[in-house]
Amino acid sequence: MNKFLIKIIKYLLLVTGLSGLIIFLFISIKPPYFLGAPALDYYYCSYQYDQINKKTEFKNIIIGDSRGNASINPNLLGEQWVNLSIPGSDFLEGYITLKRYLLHNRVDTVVMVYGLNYIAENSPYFTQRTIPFRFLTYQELQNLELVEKKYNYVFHGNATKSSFNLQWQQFDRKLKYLHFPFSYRETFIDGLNNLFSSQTEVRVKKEKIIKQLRDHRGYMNFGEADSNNTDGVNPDYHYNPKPINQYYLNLLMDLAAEKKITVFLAIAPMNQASFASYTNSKLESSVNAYFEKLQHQHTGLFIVKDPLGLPNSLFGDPYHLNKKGTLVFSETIRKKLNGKTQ
Amino acid sequence: MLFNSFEFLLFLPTVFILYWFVFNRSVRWQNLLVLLASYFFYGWWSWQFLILLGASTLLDYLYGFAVASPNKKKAKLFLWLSIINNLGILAVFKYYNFFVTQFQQAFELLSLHFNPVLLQVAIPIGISFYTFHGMSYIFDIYRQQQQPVKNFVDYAVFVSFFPLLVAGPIERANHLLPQIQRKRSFDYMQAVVGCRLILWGLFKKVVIADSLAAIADNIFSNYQDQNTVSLIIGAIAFSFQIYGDFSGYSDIALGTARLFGFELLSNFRFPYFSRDIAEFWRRWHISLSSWFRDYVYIPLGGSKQGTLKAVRNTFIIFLISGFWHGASWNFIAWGFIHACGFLPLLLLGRNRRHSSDVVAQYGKYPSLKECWQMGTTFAFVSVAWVFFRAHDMKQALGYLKGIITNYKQPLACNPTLFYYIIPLLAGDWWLRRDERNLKMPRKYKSIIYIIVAISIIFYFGKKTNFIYFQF
Repeated sequence: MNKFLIKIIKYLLLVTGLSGLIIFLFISIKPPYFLGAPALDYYYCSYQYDQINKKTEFKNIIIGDSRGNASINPNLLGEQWVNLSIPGSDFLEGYITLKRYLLHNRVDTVVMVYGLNYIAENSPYFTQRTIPFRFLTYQELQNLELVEKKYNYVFHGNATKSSFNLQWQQFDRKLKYLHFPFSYRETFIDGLNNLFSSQTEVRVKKEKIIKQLRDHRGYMNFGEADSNNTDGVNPDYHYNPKPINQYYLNLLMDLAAEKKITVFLAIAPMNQASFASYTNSKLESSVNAYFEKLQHQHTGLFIVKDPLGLPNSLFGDPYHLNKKGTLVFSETIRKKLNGKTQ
Repeated sequence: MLFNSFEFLLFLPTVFILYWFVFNRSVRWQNLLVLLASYFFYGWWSWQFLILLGASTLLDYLYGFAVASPNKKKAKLFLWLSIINNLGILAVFKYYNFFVTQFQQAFELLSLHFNPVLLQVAIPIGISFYTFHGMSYIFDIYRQQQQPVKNFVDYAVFVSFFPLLVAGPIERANHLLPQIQRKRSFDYMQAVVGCRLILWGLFKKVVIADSLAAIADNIFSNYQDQNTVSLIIGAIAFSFQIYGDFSGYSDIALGTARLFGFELLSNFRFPYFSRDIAEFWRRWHISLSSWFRDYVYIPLGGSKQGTLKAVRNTFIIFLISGFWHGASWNFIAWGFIHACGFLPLLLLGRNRRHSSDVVAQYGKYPSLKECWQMGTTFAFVSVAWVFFRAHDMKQALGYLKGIITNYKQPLACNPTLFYYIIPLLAGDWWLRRDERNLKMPRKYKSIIYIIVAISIIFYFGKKTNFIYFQF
């Protein structure tokens, strides 16, 4: 019996170690394919991460999620503008973006553009992109853990039943952050398939994305397509953003106040189907209540809630404006900026 | 609890350690542990249906004593009561909705309308398997091939032994009960072979069947838009999916049982190397086909009472076999197709041609003739699988029609299918003469086991159900 148990244990240790080593090697050599997210997301986000840490001549920045990338073309606002939006990000990444950009640059104005669900801390991308792509430093991750302890839940998660549960979820996330091989076990085969079947295609698309971001100062063109009318709104949802994201908005506002930066917060516009669901809904009234409260809390914050609904012909997909939409929305923002900053 | 779940990965070693280190004082203690573990295993899915399992077990246990009565009339009466009881459970939970709907449709043809009350209860997992265990026990007692078991725990272990509880193999009382009643001691080689079987079974399920499922599901769900080649690929993918899924389950069951000192009946012997349909049925779901042979076909007269009766009996067991799988016309059609494939062999007296040998028995490779025979048998079986996989007859017929008519549509097939089929066939080909010991070539043994285990680690965690759980 002992011989059998020892043999089994040895065998299990061997295969576990070998599989961990294989995953580790692939993650180390080709991280875009093996971190659980599409390789293009990795290239897209990494490019934006790099821009944040650079010394530039731009004194006005746009922060936001992918809708932020799509909604404002900095060229249309002026020479001094750059779009530093990160797809799938929210106020936490927004705060860190501003903090890091300020290390090398002076900032006069920040325009934040977020979809409602990102403001509400209701998206999956923090664990799918921000953590595996290591946007945060280890210190920033530890700070986040302290904030989570205060509010008793993990960022983007639900209320935890016990402190052990919270610590377990934080530990699990930390393993992912540290690129522990078995945190990426389930997506390893998909990564392998993509690496061998679509590497050339990814490379071509990556170059296109990087060129677009580089040539247009972080603006992403979501195409020329129009008439996308998919409804992406739940009208019965009671809008009640969670506290950790709000905590980081507060930090951002404090930092902006300290550096005398003007801050705008614009809600990314919706297509007609979404806007029809939204109008006169429980969601709309709770959103209005939230923004009233927010305005009251941050009197220096310029909130831009219109135009919230735009024609379908201005959308490249259900959520992102196309080139025509960008023109319209950028122009709206430009006018607001002129009105408020003069 | 699924064999391919993390829960089972914890459950199995825990029970194993308790079985050999804590409850090893006597066979009674070991059986009690196995029973508790089996009920825990089943209750993990639904504790409510444990009551049904327990009641069915208790009733057959009690019927066993009555059927063993020297009074023939009394024995026969209780035999029938037991049959009614077991088939009644199946009828209520598995077939009631089907029959009621069929009656409703038949009445509607006569312009008589009624709204039947349908059962809104999930079919208890493994119901077809454990009721057949109970029935085989009663039949064997009636035929005086088995004495009623006095110890209820022993009998309950026979019915609910966790490796075979939810999807077989369907055991026979005279095969498993003696193993339950005798003292078992740990056997190193048995345990090693058990682990190999578990490993190979997990590989077939987690790596092969689940990957092929993605291909087959995609093609079957959009069959109207697929061209001929894609539809053929979909049918092939499902053929290997169901084989990997069910034989994988059976291998894990056999391997797990060996870890506890039990040897279960074989369920598969490389069915896709069969050279005709008769051989296929000696190699596919062996425990079910032999159950029907011994308890239905032979009592009906088998093939010994003239050609007409042989034909009738053949159709009866194939149709029942189809119906056993599910209350739906497409399963019945599946059985009917196999009966039609079997019939010419029966009438020509060629149904036992390949009953003792295996393809390329003395060589490394099959002859051209054997390749042709295997290819045509596989094609026939794959066509029948379309009925098995389809949701209903309409989808099955539409799918087959598409194979013939959709040759002009653009090709949209997935060649990854072959990455999964080739290792499965290669493994089976190597093992075809000695399937139970899983002996690999000595030179490459370690590397093969390591590759298989690492593949499982990479693919593990999807928690997909085994196809045969629904039966």
